[in-house]
Amino acid sequence: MVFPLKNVLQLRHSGFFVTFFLVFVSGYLFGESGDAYIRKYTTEIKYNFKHLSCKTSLEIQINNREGENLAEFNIPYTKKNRITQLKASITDINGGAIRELGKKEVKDMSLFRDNIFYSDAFCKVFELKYNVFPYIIELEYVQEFEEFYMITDWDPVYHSGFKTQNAILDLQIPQDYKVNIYANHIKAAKPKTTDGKTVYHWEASYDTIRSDEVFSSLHLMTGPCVIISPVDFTYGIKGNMINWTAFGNYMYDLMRDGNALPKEEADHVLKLISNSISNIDKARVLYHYLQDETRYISVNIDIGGLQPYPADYVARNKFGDCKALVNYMHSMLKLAGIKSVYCLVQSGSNPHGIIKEIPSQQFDHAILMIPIEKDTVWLECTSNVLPFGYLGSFTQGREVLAIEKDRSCFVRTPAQSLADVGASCSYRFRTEKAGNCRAEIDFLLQGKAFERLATMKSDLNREEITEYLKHSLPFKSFELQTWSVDRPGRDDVSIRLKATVTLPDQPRTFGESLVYDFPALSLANFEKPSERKLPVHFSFPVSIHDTLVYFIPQGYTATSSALRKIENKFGSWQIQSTMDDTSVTIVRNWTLYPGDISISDYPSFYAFISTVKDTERKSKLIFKLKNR
Amino acid sequence: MKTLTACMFTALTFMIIPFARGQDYSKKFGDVSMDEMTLISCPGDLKADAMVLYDIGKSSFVRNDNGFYIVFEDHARIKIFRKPGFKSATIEIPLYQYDKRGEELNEIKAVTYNLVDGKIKATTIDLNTIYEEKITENHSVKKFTLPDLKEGSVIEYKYKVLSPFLFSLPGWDFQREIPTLLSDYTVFMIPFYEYTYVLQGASGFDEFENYKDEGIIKTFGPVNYYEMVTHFVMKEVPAFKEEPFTTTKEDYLIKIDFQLSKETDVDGTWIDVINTWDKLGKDLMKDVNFGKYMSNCQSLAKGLFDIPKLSSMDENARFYTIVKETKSMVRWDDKNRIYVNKTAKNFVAEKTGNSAAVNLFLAGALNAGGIESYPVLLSTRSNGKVKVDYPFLHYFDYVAVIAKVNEKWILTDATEIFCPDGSIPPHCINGKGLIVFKDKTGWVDLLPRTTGQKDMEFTMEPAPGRDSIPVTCNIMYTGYEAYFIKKNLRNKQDELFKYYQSDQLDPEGKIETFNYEDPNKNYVVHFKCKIPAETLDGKIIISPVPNDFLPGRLFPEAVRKLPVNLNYYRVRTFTSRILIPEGYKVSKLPEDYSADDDYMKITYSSKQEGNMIVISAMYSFKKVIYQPQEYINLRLHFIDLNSIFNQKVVMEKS
Repeated sequence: MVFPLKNVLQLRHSGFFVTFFLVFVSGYLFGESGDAYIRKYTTEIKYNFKHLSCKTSLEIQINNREGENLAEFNIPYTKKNRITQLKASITDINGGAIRELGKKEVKDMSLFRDNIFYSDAFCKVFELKYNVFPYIIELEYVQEFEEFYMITDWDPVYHSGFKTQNAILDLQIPQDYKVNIYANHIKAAKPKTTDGKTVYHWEASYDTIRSDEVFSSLHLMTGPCVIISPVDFTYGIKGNMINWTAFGNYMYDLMRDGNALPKEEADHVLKLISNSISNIDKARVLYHYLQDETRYISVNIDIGGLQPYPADYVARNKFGDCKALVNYMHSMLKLAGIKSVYCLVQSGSNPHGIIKEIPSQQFDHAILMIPIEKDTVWLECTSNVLPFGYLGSFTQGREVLAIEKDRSCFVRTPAQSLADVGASCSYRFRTEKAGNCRAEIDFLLQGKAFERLATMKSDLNREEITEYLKHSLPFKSFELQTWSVDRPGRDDVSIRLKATVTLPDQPRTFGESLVYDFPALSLANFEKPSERKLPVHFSFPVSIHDTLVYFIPQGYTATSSALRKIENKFGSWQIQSTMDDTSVTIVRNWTLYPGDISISDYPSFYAFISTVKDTERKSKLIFKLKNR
Repeated sequence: MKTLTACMFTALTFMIIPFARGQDYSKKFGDVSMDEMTLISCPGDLKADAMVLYDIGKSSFVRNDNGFYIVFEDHARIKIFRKPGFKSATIEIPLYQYDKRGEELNEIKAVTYNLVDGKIKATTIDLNTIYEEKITENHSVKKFTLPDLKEGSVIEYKYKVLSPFLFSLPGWDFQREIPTLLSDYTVFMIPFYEYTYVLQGASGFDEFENYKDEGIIKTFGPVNYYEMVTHFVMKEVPAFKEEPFTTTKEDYLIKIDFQLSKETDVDGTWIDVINTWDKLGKDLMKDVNFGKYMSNCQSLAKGLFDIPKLSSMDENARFYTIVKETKSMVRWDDKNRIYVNKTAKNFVAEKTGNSAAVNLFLAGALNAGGIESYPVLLSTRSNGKVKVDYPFLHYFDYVAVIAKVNEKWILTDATEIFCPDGSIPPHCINGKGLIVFKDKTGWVDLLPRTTGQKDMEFTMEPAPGRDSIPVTCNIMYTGYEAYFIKKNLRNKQDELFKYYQSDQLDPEGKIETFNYEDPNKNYVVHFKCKIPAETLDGKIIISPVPNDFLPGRLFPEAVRKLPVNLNYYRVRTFTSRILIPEGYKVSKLPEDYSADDDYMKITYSSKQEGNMIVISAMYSFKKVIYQPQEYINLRLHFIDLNSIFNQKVVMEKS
């Protein structure tokens, strides 16, 4: 079951589960507003010091079958945040009643999400479809929250594929109840206070359908949004979010009692490090122990979306989610007398960034920071394969919230540099006759490619990796003959892939010439400048150094070609060939720099990529028959 | 009384892989040997990441105050060799609930064994880490993962499921995705319930026993009885590997299924629960959620359709009009069912329903219009094949319709708006369907009535000195190909652009489409694009079949164990017209080719017509299903096909 993220702050994949739900519309097909649209989308939130209730009302017009994505509903909830007063109906375009949602039509199912082994979340599933278009669906439900740490994370987008004509957010809170409010791209609400209650009102619409663009930062923050968090709250324990330090204290308190290890485990940990002298050696030994003994299993129950399972849970079961594994590692280090800091982070290659203006739970992953000997070591505790002190593309180069009592603050993780991500790819092509080329490849990979292949080597069997390679090597048509993946040391930051392939369509014969196409560079299909709406963001650089050696078949001759180079502020591409009596060697370098490319710079960037692609396509090696 | 009727359904015979010794590991829970701990690979399958050392199941009947219930017990031990085998340590136990009754899981034990300092260390599961998920209204699953898991671990688990559902005696999967050394299932039967079983995927068992357990005499009311024991054993069962172009794993897995066939009371009277298809069909026609619903729809349809106008049409026109109007009148809720979930009146008011509701309405409407029509029960491809020798209703998950039109029987359906009228959707093409007449049943082959054809026409206008060649593309989708592309892309510009961009044809401007709304007409797509031009020594080189329209590597695997099932006949044609630029002449035309055998038909021809080169090519599959032994030849055809279709046209200055 796939749930599109209504809002990136609400549900995340790796174990953090924020308990403020909105409706998720099943499916992820993008519709056009002509197919359906949301006529009215009202959210009314009320708090009275005892309960928080959120009433959602929707009026959806379905114009044809293509719009029926909006007629399928999954409303998530938990036992602590139950759905009450759910009612829905279909009317015709003139308001004539067609039918009401029957109680038996609403099914309660577990809410399944990727990478979560188990969650105690459920969802109410139903659909309201009719065969005479257009028709109107009216839906209303109330969600009551026993405990909460977020009041709302609202925007007018009910479904990113369909327009919202009129979205309203109303908030009613006691006059003396303090909240943090972040509102962006929306007319500021003027609070009105009467009878001891303060009321806020926001209105917005979603008029232009946003679509995903290649290498764009998540763009949900570019539209109107309102985020409201409580200053004082209770979620498991009492907490405060007046500022990030206070939020850090809440997280700290949640974890405070979870560091004790069972005696047998504690004894074992101390024995493991008994021969290590420096703190860094001890940390390394313990990290390897963590990698060897535990695995990532995510279970979210009750407040488990925020609170890590205690260290003894991991010690007993040898599994846990990111929070539990970080806490376990932190506990082992603490036992060893080494300070470490639990850090909250937004994960992924392209995170949307933290809105610092509003202290709140905006994270989906945890990592560990060890401030050792004037340096800092960062640990990704969910991976069984990453080297000690290596974060990887998943969390590199971004701000994280380091959790310490009264000292929580933002710290930046190290960014991957060109040297960290560089790949050296060597190819040796031998040809007996046209259409019978054999290539030996030898790739030394770093960065994301290293992370992917190292994980595959650990987690997949040979058949599965073979299947992956069959679709991943840079040839249009090939038969994979042999392959090996080699990583000499567990803390090496590179991995070697060797393979032999045959290329049934290489070289091609034209008259008396043999023509070779070069292995393809992997270049994304960027939108044309006229279609691009969002800036480009590269979180980390790309650096590929290819060496292609073509052995000259008997009876043929070749010529070397001149250096071709394209270089600008976005990156560089160059190709050069040399030759001797037996072979031609092509050296190709491709570099893309990290950072943001504004929409005004995009046409130049697009032109750069297009030129590289075009030059790549035209670059060929030709062997000609020798004169007899 | 014969308490268990043995029936064999044969399918694939599986290859016995020589495993090492092994069935003699202790079956006592917790009694794990050093031999098991030190195993480093599966002897018969060195690539296996894990192996079932044994899996022992037992079903028996136990009495309580409410009568009998079934107790199913499972005890398995698994060796984990490598990390990819860790998934075998996550156990999911399905449980069924219906009408306030449900299956109960209890007595779970699960332990991981590891070799630590030469000694076996046992880690028992924390029962708090066993979770229940609700999958559907009637199905939930209890799941857990073993603790302290490492490469080399042995895991062991056992549990019991108590079930009040006597109609559903648990079946048994002998085969998993990892090899199994020993799979052993015993059923203890009592004389009050008789079951039929069906074996799939194998021709027999390695051990089979059927005997009376004369140990303890049991009593129920006035009846004294012994249990009848049936014991099934398979050894050294290889891992099941899924392959592309198959229906469902459930059609091929080695397993046995049971179906209640007879209930006997203590006074000796008995009821045949199911004995023939005809009886099953008669019961269905009396069912308020099947036959009676259809009759009610027939009555209601008279008010919904213009019967006098229909009566004036010939039978053929009447049939197609009713099918067409039904499709536009009602809609399918995407659920495959054989019973309706609402009354005919409600269905007509709400105009949505499951496959049974929609197609039983269609049958009723056709009958109301004077077209003799009957429901056809079938099993969709993802639900597996129907075993026609065994009258079990649970095989089916869908209702279609068969109608007699001008003395010809036509299979039809109203769920899929893009499926040509008078045909069934591709997911319904799966073996045989059961026609439910008023007082009898019959079988119909669920064959594709239409092919899936894609005709591609490219007009290319190369010009010297240009980097790219303007191409006009006309693509026509026929039959099931039209159905799929309409259903998947919904005629949306952005989806069409993405689709053709993935074929490396970058459409320019608007993509024009024709006949989207009409399921009976070919879907035509028209657009312009540019493809790269290739020049060498002043020669222009052109691929008449643009690269990414090549047949490609449909069959990359060298061998297969399962049949290739293409669902329907497939045809592809290509016509490329290449304008010869002024001042140029053809220096090389592709060679003609023609092949026609039991596997495929392939033709390729090229000719020059004035200043135009015309390339015509096609290939078609001769079969829908190719057996594993035919696969090598099929694959060789494809390898040839790729090289033939990859030929180039070369033009040079005249």
